[in-house]
Amino acid sequence: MKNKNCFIKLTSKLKGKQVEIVALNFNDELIKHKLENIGFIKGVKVKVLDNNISNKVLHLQLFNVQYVLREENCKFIDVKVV
Amino acid sequence: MSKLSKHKDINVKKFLLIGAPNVGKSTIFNILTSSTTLVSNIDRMTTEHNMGKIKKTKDYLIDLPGIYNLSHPIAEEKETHYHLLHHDVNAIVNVVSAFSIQRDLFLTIQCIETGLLNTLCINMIDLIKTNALDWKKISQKLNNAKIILSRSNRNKNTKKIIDSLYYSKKVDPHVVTYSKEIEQWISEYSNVMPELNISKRFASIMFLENNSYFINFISENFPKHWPKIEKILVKTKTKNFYSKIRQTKFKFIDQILTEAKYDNENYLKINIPLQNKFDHFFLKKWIGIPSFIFITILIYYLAFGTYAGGWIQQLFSEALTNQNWGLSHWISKLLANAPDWINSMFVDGILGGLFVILAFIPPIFILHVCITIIQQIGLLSRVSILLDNILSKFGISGRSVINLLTAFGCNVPAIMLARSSSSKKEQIISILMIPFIPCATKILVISSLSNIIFGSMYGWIFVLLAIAISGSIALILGLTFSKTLFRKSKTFFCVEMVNWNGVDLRVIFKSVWQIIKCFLKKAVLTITLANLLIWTLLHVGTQGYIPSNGNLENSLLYWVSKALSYPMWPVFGQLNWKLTACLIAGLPAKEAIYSTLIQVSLGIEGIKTIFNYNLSISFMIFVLYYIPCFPTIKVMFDEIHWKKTLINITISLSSAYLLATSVYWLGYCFCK
Repeated sequence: MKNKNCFIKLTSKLKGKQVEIVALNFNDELIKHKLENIGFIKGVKVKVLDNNISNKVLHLQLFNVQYVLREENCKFIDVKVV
Repeated sequence: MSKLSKHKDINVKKFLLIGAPNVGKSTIFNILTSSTTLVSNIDRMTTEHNMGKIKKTKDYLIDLPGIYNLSHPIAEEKETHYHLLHHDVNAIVNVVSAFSIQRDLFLTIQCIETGLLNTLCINMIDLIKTNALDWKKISQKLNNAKIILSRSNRNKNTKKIIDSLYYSKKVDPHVVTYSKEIEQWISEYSNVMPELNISKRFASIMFLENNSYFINFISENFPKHWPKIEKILVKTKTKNFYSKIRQTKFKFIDQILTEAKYDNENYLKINIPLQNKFDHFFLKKWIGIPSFIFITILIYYLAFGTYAGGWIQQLFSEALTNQNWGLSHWISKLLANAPDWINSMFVDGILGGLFVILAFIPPIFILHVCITIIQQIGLLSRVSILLDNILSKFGISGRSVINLLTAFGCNVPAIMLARSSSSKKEQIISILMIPFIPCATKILVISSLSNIIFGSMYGWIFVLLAIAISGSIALILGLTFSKTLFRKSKTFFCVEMVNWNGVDLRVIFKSVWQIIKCFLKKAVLTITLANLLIWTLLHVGTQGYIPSNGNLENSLLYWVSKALSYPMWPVFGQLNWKLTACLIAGLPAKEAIYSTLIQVSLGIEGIKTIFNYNLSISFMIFVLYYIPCFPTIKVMFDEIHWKKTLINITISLSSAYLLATSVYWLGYCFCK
């Protein structure tokens, strides 16, 4: 799903690609805080790993650390492909 | 949070261990101090600070919960701020993982800005290639911070941290230069900031980032300085300096790593593709979930099974309590010439309780060794991913698996671990579910009873069934809370995929020894006192002392329990004062249920005469759920306050009552 600035939602369609985070659109400040803590902030490059295990989770690599997030939560993260 | 306030001796030094989760702080803490804290290969295992005396000194090292940055503390992150602001900390050791240095240097820079950092410990150095980075360059860029390369799980270079703590200079806090505008505001704040243990530069940056903890601390503790600071705060509050400061720091980190010749392709030593291949295999639902179920059954068989932990427990129990050749028999013989009441009080009252605890040690040891191995090798994060899809339907995320599995050991640390949940909803639901997960003590009580009643061949199967049913009830409860109290909130799942690790037996046995020590400390005093009290109430009646072979229905315990046995009639199908007495004794600690049962039944053989199959199952169900022990209630009260704690206790008691009553009468109808 694209918005008018050509940013897309972080979904499993981006598996194997490197993306740059544009915005975190969570209403819950605690969730936003926890993601920012581990480095999910605007401008940071994230690799969407192609582990191809489950469609319901995404494996993301950031600063050499692998994180697993639910795909339904990742839809609140706007990214652009690098 | 107030443990340190007891240690106000100004000659005693205090050092803080600060770092991200899962970088090895607790391992370093265990090596450098005489204390022991739990270590696990899952992030956020430490939820409160641990304080220990540095070996051969009188100074303290404080292990804090892992944090990623000092900017906007939430929940367990406030521990670090509390220590920085409320105590005269002498120095900070920042522990960073070599594996995730890009992420962790952010906190390093903030630690330097406090003005307290004098040692930077780069841990897990075995995970990266030799000479992967120019450490001298990194040290130079960080104002010549002392860097120690360590491998804490093999105790490599860890002791150099102590020398550095005492002899290295603190690093100049001005390590990053921000934009002109930000530096001007820092200067303005610094001019009006009070004298603190941390640098004024750091305090100023915290104000620019709108760190509410700092703002509240200064406004409450420095009323003379506050008006001037507030004037500046009004001007800076609406400008978004937080993200600008953050971006400057990240640019600086990029600069450091570029100059230190960081090459992502040639950095790591561990074979990530191989780990990924294994994860690819293990994380398939039809492999991972059955494997996990198999591992769980194996653990419980090893701890309680007929030819494993259960057999060892029985051996211990017989050696201690057998009335013909056990230790209590020989002690009783030694005291044969003493008055009967002394003999009985010592053997039944004091030693009876103690021997029950000692007999519990083998299964507790085996259970905790297995749980610690699972935690250490990195299985927990994989299990949380596997179960996330299922658990999300019950209002929690896969991360709660960690809390729930910890609850099988003890409910108290499991409730505290819930602080690291991704959302308030998940934290509260986890805490409300945890008392329904049977802890090791309840499992031991059930296991001991079921071995006596059903025989050792089938006893452990009953235990496994009880655990499975308890887990199901906890999940149903989670679903109910999710659909009622937290209808509009959604859960969030994010877990770090830690590396698969080997088993370090030294760390495992040290952790398990700490657990056994805590169990003995708590249990020996509580159970012995509870047992002695029960003995007194059981052997003192309206006509004085009642001998063991006397009529116990003249005792004070009989009258107290009899009164309370009326509401228990539907559960037991009879007025049973003995079982009611056991339930009362189990309120402070569940171990007392079994020791009281032995006393009121006059020995293990006597237990068989009290129970039939029906009654035994309904009694065990009641024990599993009725009321959490007092330490659990206290921790719940601290975490989720009295209203939700009261709701939980009410639900526990009602569930226990309804379930046990239904089981008893259904069994009664079928068996009739």
